[in-house]
Amino acid sequence: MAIENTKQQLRVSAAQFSSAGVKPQNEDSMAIKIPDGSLLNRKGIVVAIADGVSAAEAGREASEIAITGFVNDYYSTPDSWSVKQSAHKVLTALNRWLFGQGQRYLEAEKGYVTTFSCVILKSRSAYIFHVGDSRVWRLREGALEQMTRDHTARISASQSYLSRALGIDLNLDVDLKVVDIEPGDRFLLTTDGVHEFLSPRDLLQTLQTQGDNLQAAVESLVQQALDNQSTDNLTCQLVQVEQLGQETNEDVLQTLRQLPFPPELEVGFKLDGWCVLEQIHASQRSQLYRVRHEVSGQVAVMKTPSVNYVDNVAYIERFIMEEWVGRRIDSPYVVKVVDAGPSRRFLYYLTEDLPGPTLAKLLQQQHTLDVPAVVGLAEKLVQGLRAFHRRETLHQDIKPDNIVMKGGDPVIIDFGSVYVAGVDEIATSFEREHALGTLDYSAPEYRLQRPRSERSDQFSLAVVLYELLTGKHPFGEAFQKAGTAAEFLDLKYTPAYRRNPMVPLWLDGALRKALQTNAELRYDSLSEWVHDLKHPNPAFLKVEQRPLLERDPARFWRWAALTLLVTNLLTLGLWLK
Amino acid sequence: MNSGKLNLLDFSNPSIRTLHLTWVAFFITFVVWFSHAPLLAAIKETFDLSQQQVKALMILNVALTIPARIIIGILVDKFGPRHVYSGLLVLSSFVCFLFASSTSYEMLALSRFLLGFVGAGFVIGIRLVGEWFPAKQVGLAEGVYGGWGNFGSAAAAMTLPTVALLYGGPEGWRYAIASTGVIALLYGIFFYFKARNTPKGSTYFKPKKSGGLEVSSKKDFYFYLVMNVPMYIALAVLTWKLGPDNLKLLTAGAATALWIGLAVLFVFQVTQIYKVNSHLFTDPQPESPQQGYKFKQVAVLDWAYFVTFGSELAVVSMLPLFFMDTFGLDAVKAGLLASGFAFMNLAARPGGGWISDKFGRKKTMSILIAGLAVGYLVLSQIDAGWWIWVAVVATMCCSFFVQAGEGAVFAMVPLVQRRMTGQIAGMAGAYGNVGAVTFLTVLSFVDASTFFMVIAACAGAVFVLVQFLEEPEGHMTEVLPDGTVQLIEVS
Repeated sequence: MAIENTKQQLRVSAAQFSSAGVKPQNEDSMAIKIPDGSLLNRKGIVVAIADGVSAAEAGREASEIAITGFVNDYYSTPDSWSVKQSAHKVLTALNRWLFGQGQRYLEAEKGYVTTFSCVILKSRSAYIFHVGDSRVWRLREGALEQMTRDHTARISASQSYLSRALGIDLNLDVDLKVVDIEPGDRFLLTTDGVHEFLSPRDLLQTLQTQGDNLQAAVESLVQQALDNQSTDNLTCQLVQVEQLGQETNEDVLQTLRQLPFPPELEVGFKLDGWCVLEQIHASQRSQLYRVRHEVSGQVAVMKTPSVNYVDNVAYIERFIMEEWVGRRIDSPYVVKVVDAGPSRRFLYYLTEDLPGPTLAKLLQQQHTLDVPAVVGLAEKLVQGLRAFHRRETLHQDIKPDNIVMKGGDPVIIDFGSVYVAGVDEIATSFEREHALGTLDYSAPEYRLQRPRSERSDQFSLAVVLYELLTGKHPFGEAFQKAGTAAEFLDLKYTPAYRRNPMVPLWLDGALRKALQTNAELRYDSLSEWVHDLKHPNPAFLKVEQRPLLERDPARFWRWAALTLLVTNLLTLGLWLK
Repeated sequence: MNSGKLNLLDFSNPSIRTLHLTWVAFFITFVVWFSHAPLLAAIKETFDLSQQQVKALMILNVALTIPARIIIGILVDKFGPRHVYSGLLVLSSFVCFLFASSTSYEMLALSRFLLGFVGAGFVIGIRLVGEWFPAKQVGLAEGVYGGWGNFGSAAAAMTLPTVALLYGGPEGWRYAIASTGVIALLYGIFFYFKARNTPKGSTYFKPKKSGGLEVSSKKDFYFYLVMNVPMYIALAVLTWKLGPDNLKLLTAGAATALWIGLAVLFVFQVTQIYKVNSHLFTDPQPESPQQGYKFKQVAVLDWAYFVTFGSELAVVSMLPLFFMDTFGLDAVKAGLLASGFAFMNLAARPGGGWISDKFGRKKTMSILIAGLAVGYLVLSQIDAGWWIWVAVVATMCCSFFVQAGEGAVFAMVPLVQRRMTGQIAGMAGAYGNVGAVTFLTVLSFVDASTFFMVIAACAGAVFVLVQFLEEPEGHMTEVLPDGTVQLIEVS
């Protein structure tokens, strides 16, 4: 069931050219990626163009993020995903990221906004994704056809606005067109700096006169637009289909999704060249084995799905996504996904083999770690978490069992609970149950059904750090039982320095802030937190000197009311006398 | 934990600890549930009951279990196995006390009826054990759980008459039953503090759709509806039995109210089932064959459980009294000998699953059902002229087939549709209770010999049904001598 390398592969020739024109900066970005081998069969060729919106300060950056982000992420999507699904999910995630960046500016027009158009050529089809006012054209048998519709709103004869683009809104509406391709078809992608200043007839004429010299064609188009007083950046891409790929790729993907589950593996079993050394763990949901490659000798950890879920589509999709998430995240403090090789005949994935021990083991052996060691771990773990968050991904299951030591460095493992913003939550047949499992490390918002965020991971990591310092949970047993907002408010935080006198006041302050049950009150950013973990923050040093009203409002008001009552009674008594 | 074997003595392993905790809980529910059977003679004497009244008590004991399973299932989804199991044990202890201190037949009947709820404890443990064991071990673990727990009825039959004697006097049975209540109460509390819903660090998931089984075609939808009818018929017949025409425990008004209630419940269930399966009617696109399953498989397993577990519950209830009457034994001896029937649970139930996995499911099931049909035919011939030991050996042989059959049914349940194992197991379990109610109702009309023959006839019918069972797909992989895992190409 492996993907065979076929004799006939899709072949194209391509050229692109971009110029800042009369503008000081080129805010356009473009990319053409023609992968080889099985990747070409599975994912096809990407030709993408983006025009950072000139009104936007960060236009250049936005278009660049859109293009590089799209190309990288698209090719790391799981093999099983269709072109449509992959591109859609990647674009949704990109849009959220850009929108989030834009929110940092107070004025909306300074946001990260960019148009985006791309053509993905795969086997015998072209998938055209489009949002904004860049254009995709197709030249076939001497006729030039515009394949996209500009998303602009014209206000007057001279003024028009982009009505749709990446980064404008949280909701993204992308146009998709799928067309069959034939040998000789050409696709032309242009930004408005080119097509606003050249008529379709000019375009057609240039393309025809230049013939097979694609590079000359794009350069000549840009030059002509410049000659016509183009006021914008100019970018132009051209691909020509030379040979079609084989027909049945989409079917191959379908069968990939239906890869069989591996059977229960025993020591000595060999799966696609990987030999099982031992079983590390087995749970109701999955099995973990340590495996070694027969040829290369590389040792890795193999995760296989549990046969309990063999007919659960949602579980399978989720399992496939774990590998994808792992491939997207690149940090020395996050476990790496190992490439399983080209011919996988079963559903599983591989991660690097970490010597260990886990932090949980370490805690068991040593009870507590000393303060400098914990601060050192914290800094690295935060870096690991940020690698997740940069990809709009939440780990959601930070706990001592999921952090493994690799030499002196902690490494975060397990993508089993991750949440990727923009990618629909795939596990639809199961919903997370509240307050039933052992939830020592998960933030209150999960149990209160409130929105989760990067701050939820911050909370979990803070619980872990607290435990490393003291061997105990910051809120004690009661934390597991709490289920309502009121119960969470009633939880009593025990300062870390009370359990471990070596913990400085300010360090406890930094932990305490990350451990707020109300997510709003935690650190805005992880970097701020790391700073506070490493440098004494004067704000935390005078904790004890805060007024009673702030420290214990209930007691303050109780005493105030009592005093008032007494004085009132006194007054009444005096008055009556 | 490197193989499919379980090391049951490895108490440092939290999964094994949980398994032991859970089967003991199930064991105690069974002791409580069948505490009356070996003591019926004494109870009969205390209240001067008629033969009919005694038989009614037996039926009442298994009646409430049918709806209780559904309610317990919902509670487990909502609160988790730990709370529900300990809650069930603690509550049942009070009903035990009520039964023990009864002053009238009505009170006896009511408390026995309420104790039927305890019989639903099985469902909770199945769920809990499922959370704690990986796929490779879960079959065996649940066999241990089911088999050893069911053994509770044998334990009750063996010990309670002696316990009653130790307390002494004609009222000794009251103290014996109250003792089981005390045990349930204490263990319920112990369970609450010791058991956990999931291994440390896992999250407890609950199925999104509940209330009905998902089926794969319109035909199966109607089939499923029809398969629900016997449960209501069983309860309706029971109401009639207790009504003014028969035992006069219920007034005419109450009986009518119950019938209406049953009808309403049925309509409600149909709407629930429709809700879960409405896509079959709105969405014309047929599901891919890989997603679907044949409801036929579920139906056959249901009927197989009807005749195996149903007959076991019925026989366990009546056997001590049967031995006393037939051979003129005293309560202690009769209880001890009758316990032979449930005794086989320890090995037969897990064994049935194992044989079924090894030698083909359909063949195993056919042989076991045929075996139990013959077994019950033999039992129907027992009379005072038999040597007692031959009778005991006969019951034990028969019970081997019965319980191995139960094991074989549950070994096959997960293979029908993995995703819905819990629901399918629940439905089979309910059918087991329908069987018990049916057989005990039959017993209330006829003598023991005819009763055994009826079961044998039912088994004969189920044997025919089993022939419609389809052998689940075999493994798609094979392992070559050098360890390479190879795919078998299925055409």
